[in-house]
Formats: sequence, C-alpha cells, structure tokens
Amino acid sequence: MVISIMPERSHYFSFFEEAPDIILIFDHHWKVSDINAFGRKALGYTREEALTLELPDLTDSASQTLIPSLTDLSQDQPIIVKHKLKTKMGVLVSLEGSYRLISNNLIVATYRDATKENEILSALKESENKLTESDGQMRLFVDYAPAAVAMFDTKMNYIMCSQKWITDWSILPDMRNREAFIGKNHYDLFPDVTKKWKLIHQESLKGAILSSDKEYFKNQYGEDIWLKWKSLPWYNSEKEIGGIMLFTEIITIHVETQEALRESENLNRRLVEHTPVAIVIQDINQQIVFANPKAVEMVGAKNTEELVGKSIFDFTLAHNTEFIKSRIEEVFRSGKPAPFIEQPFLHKDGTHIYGESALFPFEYKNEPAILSVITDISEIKKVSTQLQQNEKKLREIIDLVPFNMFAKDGDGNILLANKAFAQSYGTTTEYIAKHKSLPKKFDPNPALKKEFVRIDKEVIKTKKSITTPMEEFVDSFGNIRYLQTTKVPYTADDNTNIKLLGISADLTERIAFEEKIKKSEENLDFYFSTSMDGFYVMDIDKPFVWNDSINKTKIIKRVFSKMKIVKINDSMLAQYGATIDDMMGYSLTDFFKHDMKQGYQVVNKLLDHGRMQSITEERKLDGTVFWVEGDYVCLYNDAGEVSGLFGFRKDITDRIRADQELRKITDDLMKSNNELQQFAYLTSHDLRAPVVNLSSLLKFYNKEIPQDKDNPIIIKKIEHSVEQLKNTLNDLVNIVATKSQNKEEKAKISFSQTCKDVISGINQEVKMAKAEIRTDFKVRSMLYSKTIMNSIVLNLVTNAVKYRSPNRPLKINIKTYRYEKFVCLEVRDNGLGIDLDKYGDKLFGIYQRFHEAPNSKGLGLYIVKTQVEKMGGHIKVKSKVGGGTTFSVFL
Amino acid sequence: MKVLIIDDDEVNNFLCKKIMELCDFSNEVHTCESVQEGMDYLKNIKAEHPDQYPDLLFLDINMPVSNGWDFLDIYNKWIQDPTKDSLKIFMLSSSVYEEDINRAEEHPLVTKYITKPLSEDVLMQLK
Repeated sequence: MVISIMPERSHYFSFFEEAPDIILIFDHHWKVSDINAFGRKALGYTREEALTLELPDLTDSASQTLIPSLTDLSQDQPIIVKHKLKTKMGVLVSLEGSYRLISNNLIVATYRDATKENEILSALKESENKLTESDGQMRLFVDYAPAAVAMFDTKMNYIMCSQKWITDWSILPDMRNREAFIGKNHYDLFPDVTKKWKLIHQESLKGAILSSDKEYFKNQYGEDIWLKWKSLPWYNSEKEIGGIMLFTEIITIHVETQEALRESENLNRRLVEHTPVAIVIQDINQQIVFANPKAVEMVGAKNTEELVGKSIFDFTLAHNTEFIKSRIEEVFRSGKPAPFIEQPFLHKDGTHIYGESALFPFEYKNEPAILSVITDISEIKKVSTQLQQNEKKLREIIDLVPFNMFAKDGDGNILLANKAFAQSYGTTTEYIAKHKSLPKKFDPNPALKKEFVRIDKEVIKTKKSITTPMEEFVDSFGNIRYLQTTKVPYTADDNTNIKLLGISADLTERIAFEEKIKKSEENLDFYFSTSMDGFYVMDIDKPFVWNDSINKTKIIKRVFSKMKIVKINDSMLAQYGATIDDMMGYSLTDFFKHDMKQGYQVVNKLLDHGRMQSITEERKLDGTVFWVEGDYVCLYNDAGEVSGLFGFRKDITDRIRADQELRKITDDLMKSNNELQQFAYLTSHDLRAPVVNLSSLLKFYNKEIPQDKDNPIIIKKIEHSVEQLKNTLNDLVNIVATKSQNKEEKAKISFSQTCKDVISGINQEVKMAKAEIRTDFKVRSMLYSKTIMNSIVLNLVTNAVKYRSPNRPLKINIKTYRYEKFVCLEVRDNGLGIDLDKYGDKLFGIYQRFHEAPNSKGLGLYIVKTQVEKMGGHIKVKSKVGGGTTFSVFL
Repeated sequence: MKVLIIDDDEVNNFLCKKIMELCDFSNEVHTCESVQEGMDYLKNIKAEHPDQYPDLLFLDINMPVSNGWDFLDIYNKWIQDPTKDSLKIFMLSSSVYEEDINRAEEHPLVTKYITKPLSEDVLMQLK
C-alpha cells in the first residue's frame, strides 16, 4: 500500500536507515546531508561527523572524476558508477555508487557491494515490501522527508517526526533532537497550540484530509509566518486510523515575495496606467504593441485599440522619420537606451504636439521590442514659447529703460543686462550674454570693486536692497559719468537661489545741473549781498492758495503774521538802520505797523497780481521816516500755492524829499506868485487911484479963475493924492529892498536906543495918541541888522498907535528876554485887538487890513515878517478883540 | 436922482459928487467910506425915510476889510427878493483887470461896470 502523501512531490523512497547499503544524501554542493546507519558503520563516522563532510572527503581523486556532475543527474534514472569510498580511517573500499536526483536538488547516493548485489536486491525488494506494509516504513519516510513531517498516534503523541519538523518547531535547545519529541504529547510540548489546530487534528483523526496552501500563523516568537500545511490520517495494517500526519512548510518568505511581486505588479500596472508619461512599446517592425492611457490621450485617440497595431510613424512627422529610424536601430544594435530628445508628434486632429522621448531596449512577449517613454511637453512648450515671447517683450522693455539695468547671480556673473547698460560700457547685450560679464577694461578700481562685491554679498545675505555710493567712471565715449546703483535681491523660484537685480541711475546730468544751480546760487548770493538795493526773501510756514474763491480777509491776517523774512541783504538792513538779528523773522505786520491800512492795500495788490511795484512810506527802526520804491514778486510752490515773496527795495527818500522840497518850493512860489499878483494888483490900484484922482482934480481946478472957491479944496485933495502916491511908492521901494537884500550887516544894537529913535520919529502920532510906553529890556543888546531892527520896532509901535482903542488910553509895553536860542522882542498894546480866528492866517499877508484906519495899507506886518524871517527868526501874535495885541518877535 | 457912493477914497467921492453936480445928474449924492457904513445907511434910510432910498449906487471894488464883492453879497442877502429892488448898482473902480470887469458884468445885481474916473459922457448915458 502506497500512501500518496505529497502527490505533487516527485517520488522518493528510501529505506534509508535499515537498508543494508551505504546511503548518503548530498545537497547540490556535494555536501553530506544525511547518512544511514550502514553508511555510518561502514565508513566509521558518526552522523554529526558525516554531516560536515563533502564528497571529496569520502573518495579519492580518481573516483571524483567518475562521479557524475549535477547536470548529468536526473530524478528519473540513477547513474551508476564504480568507484572507491574512503573510510574515516582512510581505507578505500571499492563500491558501486548509484546517484540519483531527488526533488529540492538533493542527491541520493547508494553504495553497495556489488558482490552482494542480489542479496541486496532481494533485501531491497523485501524492504520495499516491508516499507509499504509496515509502520516502520512510515516512520522512515517521515524521518527523512525534506518537509517538516510529524506522525502522531490517536492521542497526538509523537510517533515520529522529521528533522525539519524538529528544526522548524523546537522551542527550547534541549528539544533539538528526536528523543525530545518521540512519545511526547504534542499538546504538552506546545501548550500554545490553538483551538483551531486542535480541531483540525481531531478532524483528521476522524478521517478528514485538510490542507492549506497559505495560512497565516504567528509562531512562538510572535513572528508572522505563512504556513503551507496538510493534515491527514494514517492507517495501520488493519486499515484503522492509527493517527494523523502533519506536514508543515513555512513559506513566509515565499509568500511575502509573492505578495510583493503582486503588489509591484499592481503598482507597475497602475504606474503604467496612470503615469503622466506616455509609454509605448513597439515591436521590431515599429508596430505599436502596447500604449498606456497617457499615450492614447497624447495623440488624441479614444482608446488603445486605435494605437495598437499601428505604425509609430502614423504619429510622427514625416520629416523626422529617417531620424527616428536611425535612433531605433541604434537602440537595437547597442542594447543601450536612447536619451530624451525633444520631438514633435502628430495629434489625431492634425496639430503638432511636443514630447520628449527616450527609447529603451525591451522584451515583449519574449520578442525584442522598444519601450518609448514620452513626456508631453506641449504645455511646457507653449509656456516656454510664451516665456520666450515674454522674455523678448521684457527685453524690449528693459532696453527702452534709459537706466542701466542688470541682474547678477551670487557669483557676480551677469545674467541679464539691458541696452543702456551695455552701451554705457561700450559693448553689446550679446557680448554680455555670452561672457556673463563686462569687458575687462571696465573693471572698477580695486577699492571700489571690493566695495561693490561687499555690497553684493550683503544684499544677497540680508535679502534687502541697498543703494551703492556714487561711482564715477569714464564711459565708452570718454565722458565722465556719475552712476548710483540700487541693488535689489530677488529669487526666480525659492529662497535659496538669490540673485541680484541692479538698476543704475545716471546722475551725471543731475550733478551737472546741481553744480550749475550751485554756481548760480553763489552768483545770486553774491549779487544779493553786494547789491546796493535792498533785497529780501520772505517765507510762510504754510503755503496758501490765493484766488477769488477764498476768504481773503481771513487769510491775509494770517499772512501778515506768518510771512517772515528768511533772507535779507546788508543794503536793506542799512535802509532800516537795523542789524540782521533785528530783522530776521520780521513779519509783514512789523513792516507795516505804522500804517496797517497801507500795508493791507499793498499786500492785497501783490497777492492779486503776483507782482507789483509800489512806493511806500516806511519807518526805520528808530522811527525815522524813509521812502522806498519796491518791486515785489510772489513765490509759488508746485501746487500753485503762495509760499513766499521776495522784494527789491530802493531807498528813494532823497527823491521823495526832493519832491517834497520841490512841492514846497512850488507852493511857496505859487504863494509868492499869488502874493506878487495881489501885490501887483493892489499896488497898481494904489498907484492908479491917486493918479486918476489927480488928473480929475486937475480938470476941476479952475485955472482961469484961480480964486474959485473950490480951488483950495481941490488943491488940498491934490496934496492928499500926491501923498498917497508917495506913500505907495515908498512902501514899494521898501518891500523891494527888503526882498532883494541878501546880506544884512549886523551890528551891536541897543534895544533902548532903537526904541528911543523910533518913538522920536513918530513923536507926533505918539503924542496925539497920548500913548504911555513902558520898556523892560532883560536883553539889553544883540548883534542884528540896524535897519531891520528899526523897521520891526517902527512897524509894531505904529500898529499899536494906529489900532488903539478909543475907549482907553493907549499903553504900550516893549520888552526883551531870552527864549531858547532866540532873543524875544515883545510889543504889547491894549488896543483894538485882532480877531485871530477870522484873520489869523491873513495877518501877515500882504495888503491885509483889518480895520478902516487911515493910512493903514496892511503892509507893515508883512514887511516885519519878511524881515524877521530873513534874519532867521519868526514872529508870533496873541490877541483878543477888544483886549489888545501882543507881538512876539524871535530874533 | 438919489445917488449913493460907497468908496473908501474920499478924493474919489469928492470928484464924483462934483461931476454929478456939474452935469446936473444929481444933487442928492450921499457917500459912504465903507461897506459897513453903506449898509447901515441903506438900512436906516429904508426904515426911516423910504422915499429917500437911493436910485443909483456907485460901488468901489477895492476897499479895506470888506470890498465891493462883499457888499454885494451882504446887500443880496438883505434885500431878499432882487425883483423888488429899485436900486441900480454900478461898479466903479480904477481897476482895468479883465477879471474884475467880467465878474462885475456877470453879477446879477450889477448893472454895469464903470472905470474911474466917472466922466460926463458916462453919466449922460446913465440918465
């Protein structure tokens, strides 16, 4: 009875231990894997000793050559070779060796004494029979099975187990031999056996054959194991279930590998399905045998069927065909992949798409093939084209920028430069693009270069923009230029690759301009300070708008207090008699405080018109009046607001004074003229009247009758008229003399003497008036003109006499005294008095008479005034009607 | 014809009186030597002897204190209504100044300007 245990295993039988032959089992390295009892006895080795041996240890060299090689051996038929075996003692024994392959690459070698061949054969047959029939056969078989096999009785006690079983399942070191197992109960040895297993055992004991190709199991160490097992009953010779046999094979690695493989197969499949790259496999005839979904999508097909079976050249451009062919050929020839190159492909709709394709030598269904990996760069291409266009545009733009622009990387290579930059260094953008730097001759001097490098590094390090100090350099045209560069850090992508963008401002013109300004400012300052005219600038803290829409009254108030002098030249200070401290910060109020009305007028006008000229009366710091002719201009800021004003000032005081003088003189002249006219008028009248009278009188005089009674009256009247005439002529002469005389000879005049002389001269009138004259000369004498003194006293006394009051006796007081730098001569009377309110300003005028007194022509006071003033003095009068008159003459 | 002369020149007054007598122009000639005197006289006569009120007045221009023009103003104020006034006023002056002549001729109260001396011919014209 043959028990088929492992039907799939190749047949393998052996009567190993009991066989009367030497049986050795070798692995495929010819190392001893097992040795039977007879072998051990025959060769003299213990089992342990034998396991360390290899075939060459057991034979001689001659025999070795006879022993078949592994490749010669088979499982079907043994190869029999006569050769020698060596014992432990070294004794060589001639034997016949039978070599046969058993599964798992093991070789069973059986050696027998040929002489005993028949005995052995029959014994073999017997053994075979025995084996097939006895329990022991089972035991043997189990013992040497390469699988882990254990044989149990119905109580699950170990009858037998293979070496492998022991190796696989022994927990403790002392279990490592068969003795530890045989006869022991399985459940005693392995208390952790699960219920499931117990069940399986029971089932098999009942007759069930159970197995599993792959069962997950956790071993005694808690490790995950995959187990292949079989559990089946064995029958004894009475055909009863004697127990069960368990076969186990740990296939963990195997399973895991399989899993992994499956996993990777899945992965691969998924990759292939979903990868964003197109994968196409073409056979040796350039026919597509496989295309992944991406490939399908790339060419705009609906499914793989549209691709598979087609030629790849259906999807490439005609002009590329030769090139592609040669590439493919190269791959096939060299067995090396062709690297990625950019290639156009044909979309189903006829448009061109772009991909980068690499070719790999491949095998498809055991035939040589090419695997193409194609990345779709259409988008990229589009973007890159766009990018190129953008770059072109950018370049156009930056070339338009009149400033030098450049970009550098961290090592100082110029990545980008615009035309302005290139031109200023006398080179081209192409040169810079190629060399990534400027021509050597434009390297700045070492110190400056060091500074620039330092700045570059700092910009990149701190990621902050920095403006470099001004750099002077001579450009390609030989001009000195001044550049100031601002360096800005930027990154194209992430923060790691920092580059530098530089923009240079050409300050040359500005510098030149500033120089010019400075020069003209210097000139201006020079002019300002040396000008003979007054020059000043005023500023207001807050510029203001001035037009018809604002509240001018309110604004002007502010302007007057806040518009202040910020610059003033010496000439102007001199005009005001001030120091710079006095006038710096002078406001408009300060200027015009002596006449705010004039000030408001002037400033209003200036603001309305933006500029104006005017003549104004000013006050020096000490209050003295002076006149200026000013030219004023408003200053505006960019917003059109008034921000200040400046003015030129000419001192025209002299001119004005001269004007005033002139006017005065003119007035005087006119007055004089008037006087003269009046004088002429009256004089002519005064001359005419008596003359007319005389001629009429003469007509009336009766020459024929001299004794006419009227004649004496007429004669008297003639005398009167002649007298009138004479007087008039005298006065005339007097006045003329007075007016024309230039120098008055002075002499020491005694007042008392003068008075005596005058009074005696008009003695008659004085007597008639019964005038009482008193004198009081505190100043007894002085240096003066005799004629004038006489004239003064005569006129004043005569007036006092003429205009005496009829109501009271005439009293005249004449006195002299000192008054400041004058000598005052006072003549007081108690006469009629003069109504000064009425006649005050006419009093000293020519031909002014205020009383109808005879012989008063009104010239007297006029003459006195003229004479007194000629001598540098003046005359004053005090009077009350009916109260008398006092004349004070300041000599 | 009653005549009043206002002139400060007594010689002139004498001469005018004389000639008026000689020409039989008038025997009733009163003279005043000032405007004040003249006004007082007129007022007085008007009040006391209105029939004695003068018919003609010869008025000098240049007089001290108040002159001929002043008189006219005062007189004008006094009479109030010139249409009721009977007095004929003649300006008599030695002045030959055009201004005086014009001013006199244009004055509403003045009948005529006469230059001194007063002659027979002029008087005849006035008769």
